[in-house]
Amino acid sequence: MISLEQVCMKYDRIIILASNDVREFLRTLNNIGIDAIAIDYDPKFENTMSYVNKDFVFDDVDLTADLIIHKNVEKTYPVELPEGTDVILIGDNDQHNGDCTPIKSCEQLISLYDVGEIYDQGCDEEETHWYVYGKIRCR
Amino acid sequence: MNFFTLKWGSKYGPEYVNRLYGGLKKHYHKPFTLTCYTNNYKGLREEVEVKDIKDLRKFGPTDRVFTYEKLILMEKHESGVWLDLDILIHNDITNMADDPSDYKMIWNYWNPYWMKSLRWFGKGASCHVNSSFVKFDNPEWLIKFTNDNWEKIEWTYKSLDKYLFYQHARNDRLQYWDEGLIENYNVSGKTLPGKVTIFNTSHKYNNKGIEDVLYELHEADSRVIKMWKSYD
Repeated sequence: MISLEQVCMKYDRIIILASNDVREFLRTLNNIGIDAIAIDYDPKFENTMSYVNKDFVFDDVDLTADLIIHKNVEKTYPVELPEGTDVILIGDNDQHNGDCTPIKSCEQLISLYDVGEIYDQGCDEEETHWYVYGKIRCR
Repeated sequence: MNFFTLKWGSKYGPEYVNRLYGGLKKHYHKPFTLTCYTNNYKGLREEVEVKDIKDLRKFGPTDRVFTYEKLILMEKHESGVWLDLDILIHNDITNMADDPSDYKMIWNYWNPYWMKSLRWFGKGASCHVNSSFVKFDNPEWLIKFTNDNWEKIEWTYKSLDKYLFYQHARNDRLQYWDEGLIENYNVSGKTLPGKVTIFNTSHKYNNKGIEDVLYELHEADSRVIKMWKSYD
């Protein structure tokens, strides 16, 4: 799988979507001068440093960043991400309750989010978790 | 007061509609109508007004947002109370039905919020509201939000209740019946506290991993069945 830490070093502003608990990761990035935030609607992140406690699909949020890391893609509607932005999309087909976009391939991720240029892509050994690293197509 | 209910498919027979009417007759003490949106009006008592369920399928057939027809109901009728068929009214609901709220629904007081709902919130697998008994009075904000966001809503949510919980309860837009007015037979047991008892089972079939034994109204204990049949 892709090393998020290594990739993130190349960017100045990073947004992590549907992140769940990445407080430690955010702290590390911010400590070395990268402006990194997470957007997650789970109330347990209310008033948590570097978190925006909103639903990025339905609420009004600013998605301006050099890199957007969208974790748990299987749980969200495929929103239109800002064109020309680098993205890392990570999703699975574990079919948990609450999953609305089961991810079964890299091609599906590329198509759902209109990724134009691919830097890297792959999956785990069991072929249940998929990722794509690339750039959103300019429309 | 205008009451509304939905019936399609074969899960519930006409006796559910007819006894719902009987329950209203006994426990709502003002003039009222009950309208049933259905695809099969056979066996319904003549006091029940019948309309085609297709009138509420504005966004077409879908296996998502289960019972989204209730939302469209509010576009067709400015105010009223919508009721699920699988509820038992057993006390005076006149004040509830006449409540001035623009939108009031059930908060699942019988489930511990943290353990049953907040814990699973981030997984998208949570729900702590129930739309089995809803008073509405022209909630324009809800109708507009639904129309503006339907594509996302349909994609994201399996049931109406989940949509309401994640988008509107999360943003404190909803009002709820006071604790104790509405109870859940499958949690609160057979004592029938409050004014209305729901027999909530659909979540078992819409989610994996729910092992609870859940009773439908027609499977309840003899006291409940006797009361229910008395509404014939």
